[in-house]
Amino acid sequence: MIYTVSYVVVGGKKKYPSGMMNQHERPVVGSHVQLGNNVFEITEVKRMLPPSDDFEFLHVTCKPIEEETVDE
Amino acid sequence: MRNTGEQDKFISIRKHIYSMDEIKQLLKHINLFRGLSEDQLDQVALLTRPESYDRDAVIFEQNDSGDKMYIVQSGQVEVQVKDRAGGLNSVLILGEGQIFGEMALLDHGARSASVVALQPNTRLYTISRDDFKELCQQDTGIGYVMMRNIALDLSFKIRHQNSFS
Repeated sequence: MIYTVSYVVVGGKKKYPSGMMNQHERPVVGSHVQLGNNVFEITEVKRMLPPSDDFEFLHVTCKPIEEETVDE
Repeated sequence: MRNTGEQDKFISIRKHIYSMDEIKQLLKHINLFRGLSEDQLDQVALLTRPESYDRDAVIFEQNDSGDKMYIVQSGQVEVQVKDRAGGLNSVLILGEGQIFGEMALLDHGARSASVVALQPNTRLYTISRDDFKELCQQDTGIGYVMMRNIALDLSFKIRHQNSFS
């Protein structure tokens, strides 16, 4: 299954862009996701659309866990 | 004569060589190509062109003319839109499997946003408008599936936008 995920960030001291990506593992509440240079904690996972052709469409809400940028 | 920004952009592009089977396996994980048969994927794979961008490289700028669409193979890109004062606002981050620049294939309009690579060695595939149009005319089955998938992708993006507006 391929998970097409819509990420929206709530809270935090600054405004963060939202994100969209495909991934092989279903996101779970409490796990972390990196969007750009920031890492967020997933707080909610909801199905956005019914699954189709081995693709599942999810909407994920997350919150910032750190204000610093990630060094690469 | 290209301006300096365009020169930088072209210098940052590096070509990679993949086998057709490798490209097909990647395409199977991308929404745009779901529902295509193995033979149809072969035809689409022939049209794809790999590009790679360094971190912070500009892939295209808002109001540029556009003649191809992009598929994120790996890494992330940032979609930026200019505000009325000319400042750039980051509105969306796109990761693996996402497409952008697809509106140029459909409406021939200028780019509605700028897109910048966020990670080193951000790998993309491109499909040109001319190649896409020719393929859709030659094989209307592929044309139907890909047009449907582009519509579904735009629908998903609208639902995503609606989720926090």
